[in-house]
Amino acid sequence: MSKERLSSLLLFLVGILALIQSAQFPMGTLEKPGPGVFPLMLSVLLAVIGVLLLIAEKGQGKLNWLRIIREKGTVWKIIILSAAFIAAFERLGYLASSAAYLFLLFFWVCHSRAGVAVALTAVITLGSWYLFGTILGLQLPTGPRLL
Amino acid sequence: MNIFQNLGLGFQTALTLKNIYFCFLGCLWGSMVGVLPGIGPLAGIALLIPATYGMDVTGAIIMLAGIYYGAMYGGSTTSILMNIPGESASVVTCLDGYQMTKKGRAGAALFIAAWGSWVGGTLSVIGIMLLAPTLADLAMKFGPAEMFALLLVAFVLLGSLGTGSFLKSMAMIILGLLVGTVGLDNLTGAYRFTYGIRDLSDGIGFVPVAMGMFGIGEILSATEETLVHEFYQPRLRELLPNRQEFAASLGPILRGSGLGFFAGLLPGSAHVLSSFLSYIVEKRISRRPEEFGTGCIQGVAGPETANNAATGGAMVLFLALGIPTGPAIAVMMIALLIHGIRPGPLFISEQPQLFWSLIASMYVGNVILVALNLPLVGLFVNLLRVPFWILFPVVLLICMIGTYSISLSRFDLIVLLGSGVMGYILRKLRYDLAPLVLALIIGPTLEESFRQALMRSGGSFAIFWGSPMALSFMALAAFLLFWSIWRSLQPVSGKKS
Repeated sequence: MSKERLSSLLLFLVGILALIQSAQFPMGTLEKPGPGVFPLMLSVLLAVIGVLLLIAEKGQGKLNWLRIIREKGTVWKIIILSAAFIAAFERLGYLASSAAYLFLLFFWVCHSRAGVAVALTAVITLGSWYLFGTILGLQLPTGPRLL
Repeated sequence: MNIFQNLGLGFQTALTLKNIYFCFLGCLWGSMVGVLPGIGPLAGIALLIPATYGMDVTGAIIMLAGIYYGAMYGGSTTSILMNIPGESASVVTCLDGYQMTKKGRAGAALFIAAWGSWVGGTLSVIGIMLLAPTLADLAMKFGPAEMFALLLVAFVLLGSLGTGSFLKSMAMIILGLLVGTVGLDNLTGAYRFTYGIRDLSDGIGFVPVAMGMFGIGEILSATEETLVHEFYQPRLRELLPNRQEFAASLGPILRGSGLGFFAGLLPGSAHVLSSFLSYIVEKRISRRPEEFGTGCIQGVAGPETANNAATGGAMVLFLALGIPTGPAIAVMMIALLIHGIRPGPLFISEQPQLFWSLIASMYVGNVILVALNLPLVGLFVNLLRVPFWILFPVVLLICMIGTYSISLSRFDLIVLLGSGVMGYILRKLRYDLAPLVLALIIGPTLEESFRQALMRSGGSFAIFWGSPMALSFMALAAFLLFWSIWRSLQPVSGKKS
């Protein structure tokens, strides 16, 4: 199956899942429509469009999952590091978590030398803390909150 | 009070030192984010929303609007000098702007782009002044049925004017509307699609979704491309165009102003559409169309004027009807809502000082932008000397900080990353993202209007064509829908413009 067709199928499935869910919400009456009416209409429309796209989309070539995983190395690394950053953000505080995040992005993703990565990390972390935390007064977690 | 008295009062507020400072900050930040590919006005505005918490609402909206129209100015600089559009609206400027740079006329192209942007921006502010109060008065007569029908027109337009296929755009709209139903139902207090997760009870935030789709998604896509830029830095004395270039640009600037303003009234990619439309019009009416694409000043003047004038058109619908026509405007709407102000038909009558101060500040901002963008062009170009591998971690961090600081919620960061991944995948599959994020923010109003209209009519669907206004909007929506379906069924001709 091509990636275009797979995406159309996913849209159809999301529509069907939403349809099943919204059918459980109160529908009300025509005089007083309930919270289920609008999501129900939308999910039917989404499923129909999913089918239409499935028919219309021809797509180019089959999906090769192994190739996708191999070729998108940088994308995977960024996603993994960002997820780790989000998990650590409030627990470790802004300075520690962003320093680790930036260092790994520079060193592991961008393959810069360790010294350059450390220098850039220090400048950006402290600079952004000063700009956003001190000058703009944004509330950033101070950490550490390990539990 | 007439328009001029109101404007006078607006200038009294906009010309205070504090508000000029906020306007300057917004314009400077806007120009910078406009220059840098990957950080558009959306991220630029979202990032500064938390900084406005301690400000009065007038200063806040003046600064955020400055970022919005400032980004349009900044976008042209890199298009002309480096063939890189800082903003999607400046894509078309690359065609002739970069060719002019190659011919040694970069300074003239930059000057005409700035001059055209100023004229377009200023004329469009006059358009807002004249049209917004009238439209707001008209909208006061809107009931829920009229509002529903109008939003329906907006959604069909979003689908048909998108950059991708009509079916795909419609799928994105429906998906956005569906995501917009998550959380507490305002009319009954019932929870929908929350699965017991408390963070979902307020719904899925617009800012994390928009920042994720346009910020993180863009970064993930850009890491797959290797860009090598050539830098050209014009000197100040090279900036003046010759008499012939100046004369040739006058017509495109005036036409671009009108075209851009009215294109700005359309929801979706109005800025992109306006600049492309202007380019096509200028090429069609030119006596030497073959010169377009080879460094023709009309190809810079028209589109650059049009995309700035579109900013004014977009502000009309936003301020008078409360309908954001693009993701960046929608973020501004969030900022106003945070400050307790709801744009819409009552906005101008209830907040006249705020409305007219904003209008006056846009005149001031346009002058600041010309003053900023011409002498400081070298500084802005130098921003692009920063290699992408340094820039993208900074952009990622900025997206995280901007999202977190709005609601101090880790859940929003998860939504941000999820939206980023989804945006990346959808981009790869050639789905248009703007319809999804706009549907997410307008969706709740559409649903409320639909249900309130049915309640008012006692369950009769005839209310949706019961008044002349609702009937006109419904007819227009139906016409646009059938036209779009018919157009999408036509076989693609081999000749592409």
